Amino acid sequence: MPETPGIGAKFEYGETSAVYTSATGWTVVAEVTDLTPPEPETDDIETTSHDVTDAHRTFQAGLTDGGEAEVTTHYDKTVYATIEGLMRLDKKFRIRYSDGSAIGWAGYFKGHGTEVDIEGLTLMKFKTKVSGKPVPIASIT
Amino acid sequence: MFEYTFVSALLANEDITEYVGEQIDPITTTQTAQRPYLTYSLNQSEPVSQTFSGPSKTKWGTYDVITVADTYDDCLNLSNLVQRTLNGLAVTTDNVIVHWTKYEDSTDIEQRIEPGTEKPLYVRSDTFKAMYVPIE
Repeated sequence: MPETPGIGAKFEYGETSAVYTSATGWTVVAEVTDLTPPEPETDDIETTSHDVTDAHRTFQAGLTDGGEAEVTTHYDKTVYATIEGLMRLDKKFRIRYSDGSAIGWAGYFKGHGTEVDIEGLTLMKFKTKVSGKPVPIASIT
Repeated sequence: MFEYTFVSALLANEDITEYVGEQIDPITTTQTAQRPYLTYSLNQSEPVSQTFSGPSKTKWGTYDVITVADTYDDCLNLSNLVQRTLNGLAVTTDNVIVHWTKYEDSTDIEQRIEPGTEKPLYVRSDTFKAMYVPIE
């Protein structure tokens, strides 16, 4: 299995018309220090009934929640103000991995904040909510 | 360069230059140096954070300033002057910004013997940490 370094990954956002496989139409958020892609999770619907004969509960898959993504970067007052102004607006998002693949999703910025370290750098954090299914992207052209 | 910022600060302190003149040298001093004098060494310089596009330009630097004197009192007094001068140092020059400096630690004053003689000399090392960024 190939090993893909984390360094070189990028976090981007674009308008709802942005194309996941396109290199244009996306704004890169620079100097990212921490990146957590969305983690979709499926609800469990229990189907256990008295017909069960082996004493094990049964389930079926319910709806899937696409989850949330978080990005932390070095604080920049201009970038922070720009993204703060985009809160709650429908956008598309994309994380590009260092091997050229990516994952994209529709959603919105849902949270923002800063972290101040007396001996370090000030950081800013943003959280996005996934609406619908995240889309794996094999390559960007 | 980052080192010049704290050397300049030491040289700007008349109480210090009254002791050492301009004898503030990297790592070691010249053979003709007259005590007391100061030497310094940059121990560590590392980026404050790592980003997905490379290390941050802002760095932490740790350095020692070593005081060498003929008497215990001179060594103590000069070392204390160095600590007071550099602790809290924040300065902007043409090519570097020092955001802060903090005094971290000192060794005990050690008595050593001048090589080739039986004359005692006194040595102390003060350690400082600073956060700085080169101006590009």
